[in-house]
Amino acid sequence: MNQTLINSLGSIKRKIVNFSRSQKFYLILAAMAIVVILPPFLSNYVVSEVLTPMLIFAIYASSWNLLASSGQGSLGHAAFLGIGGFVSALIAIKLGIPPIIALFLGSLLSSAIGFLIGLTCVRLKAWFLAMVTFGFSVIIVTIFSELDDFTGAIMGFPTPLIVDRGLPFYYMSFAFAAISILAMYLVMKSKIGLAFKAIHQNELEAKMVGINTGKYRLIAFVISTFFAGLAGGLFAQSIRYIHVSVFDPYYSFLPLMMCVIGGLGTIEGPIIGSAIIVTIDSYLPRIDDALHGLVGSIFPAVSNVGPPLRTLGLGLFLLVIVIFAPKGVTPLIKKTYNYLRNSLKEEKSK
Amino acid sequence: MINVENVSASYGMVQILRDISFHVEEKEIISIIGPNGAGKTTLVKTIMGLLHPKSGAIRFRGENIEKLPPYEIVKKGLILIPEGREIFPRMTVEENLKLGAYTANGKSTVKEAKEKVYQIFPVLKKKEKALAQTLSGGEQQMLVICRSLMSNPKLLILDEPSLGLAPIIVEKVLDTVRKINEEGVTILLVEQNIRDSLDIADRGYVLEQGKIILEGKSRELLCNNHIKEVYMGL
Ligand SMILES: Nc1ncnc2c1ncn2[C@@H]1O[C@H](COP(=O)(O)OP(=O)(O)O)[C@@H](O)[C@H]1O
Ligand SMILES: [Mg+2]
Repeated sequence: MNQTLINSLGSIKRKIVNFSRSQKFYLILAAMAIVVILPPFLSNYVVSEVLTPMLIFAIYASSWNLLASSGQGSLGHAAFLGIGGFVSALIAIKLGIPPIIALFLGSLLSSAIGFLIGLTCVRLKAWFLAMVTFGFSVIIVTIFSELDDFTGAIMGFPTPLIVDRGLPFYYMSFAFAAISILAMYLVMKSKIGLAFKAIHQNELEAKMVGINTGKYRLIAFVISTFFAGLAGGLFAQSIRYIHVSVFDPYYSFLPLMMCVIGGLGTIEGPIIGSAIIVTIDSYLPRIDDALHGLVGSIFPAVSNVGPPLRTLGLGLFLLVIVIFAPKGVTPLIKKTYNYLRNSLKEEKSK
Repeated sequence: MINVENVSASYGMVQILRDISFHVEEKEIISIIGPNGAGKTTLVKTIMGLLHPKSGAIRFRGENIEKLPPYEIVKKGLILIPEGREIFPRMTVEENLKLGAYTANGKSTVKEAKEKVYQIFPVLKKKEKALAQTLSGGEQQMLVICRSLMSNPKLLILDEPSLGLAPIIVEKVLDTVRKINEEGVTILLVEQNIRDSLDIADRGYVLEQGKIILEGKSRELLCNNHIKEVYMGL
């Protein structure tokens, strides 16, 4: 027993040492350094409206990705974003609990409800699962709206903050994102993650190697909804004012879009997908104005087509990705990186 | 080792298996043969807990298992190689093998088991890092057999392992089955391919339309008139 413990500790140490010498490690270190050092030199708009949401949605999309890695696609994840957001804000206000503790309690409650919903969902496949998760999200938004006297969901209310907005909130979100994504990464690399992958690729065979498929699907639900709730709690603080609109189906499709764009089933996919979608989303008003002016100057009769054009743009972007890069943009980025590195090497050897 | 007693099973309202009884003793190779649609796959699914019998009992080493879920049955050392070469397609050969040892504990035993199966099929060692879906049909069947050995099974059930393989590979597969048996693993071989499977089996059962209609020593069955007429066209 002791010997196996020593052995496994030894192998973990070896893995860490090897990793710290690998190129990937330096790449991650460099990326981390940029996101830590750069923000104080950027405008408040970029920090609060672009970078911070990127981090929060990276957590949210990663939580969806973890559930999908077990072969379960949810179309109702907004329910957990909303539960995490509302519950953490409500208990901070009504019970006077410090917001940071309320954030954890909100995530735990999201996870508990995820467990209950998971109990029914683990028996379902594909479209049935998608429909039922969507159905549950409708039920949950109805409950929050009907209990308006208690939740204040319909009018909404300002959210209590853990730290001030701007740089402090950015750094806090960064810490949460780093820890959450690392935790989900470790789960997906562990024996549990291998079981998820097995269930996803061949459920019958997963059963035949002795995996309790129902249990592992439920574990995926519980972990995923915990982090979706955490993202919801942070999101509620980042938008200043929480309102029933966080339950909008848009937020259920968002993590799906982010994962598909970034690359499904990879750890970096949801992060890259979140970066792309949030960037597009926050600069769309400007693109809108530009398009508005352009189209209006050519066809004065349709000078009012701003907003539809921007959703059209996002839709087209999705189409292009799905058709030309079905594995998301991550492989493209990797290819470009390898290409650049190789051509640099050639330069040197000349 | 395993006793199946008066088992009946159905999908919904449609009864497939009727009052099936048979037994497999330690170290034996038993073959269950029958035409397409006879209920062979349904029978092995029932044994593995993927389907629960309507009536009857299944006992493995004296313990009733007919109400247990698949993962409990697998833990007891009963392993099924399902029909159709079920692999984890987008995982490497190595990961596939690792999953075969999912119920086993301890890294060293997994490593040992891996080295052992690589000795049986050295080609798999060469393709350790290849995705399982890139292997040929024959290689995939070997991978599936190796994976089933990773957990040191006591009883190995094979559902039509020769289906869709070239004769030369079928021979190799059945040869391997015999070797596995010599190592002490009891075998239940389910096949349509009567001659080859009875060739390596000690005893056999004939399943038709969900019923066992014949049983006996392999040699006896090969001489049986019904079998000669229906299965060998003699
Ligand atoms: N999932 C299912 N639902 C309903 N009927 C099935 C199902 N699977 C198989 N059957 C029927 O059960 C019978 C036996 O099938 P099966 O056990 O697959 O036979 P075999 O493996 O001997 O070819 C067939 O008539 C088949 O149509
Ligand atoms: Mg069959």
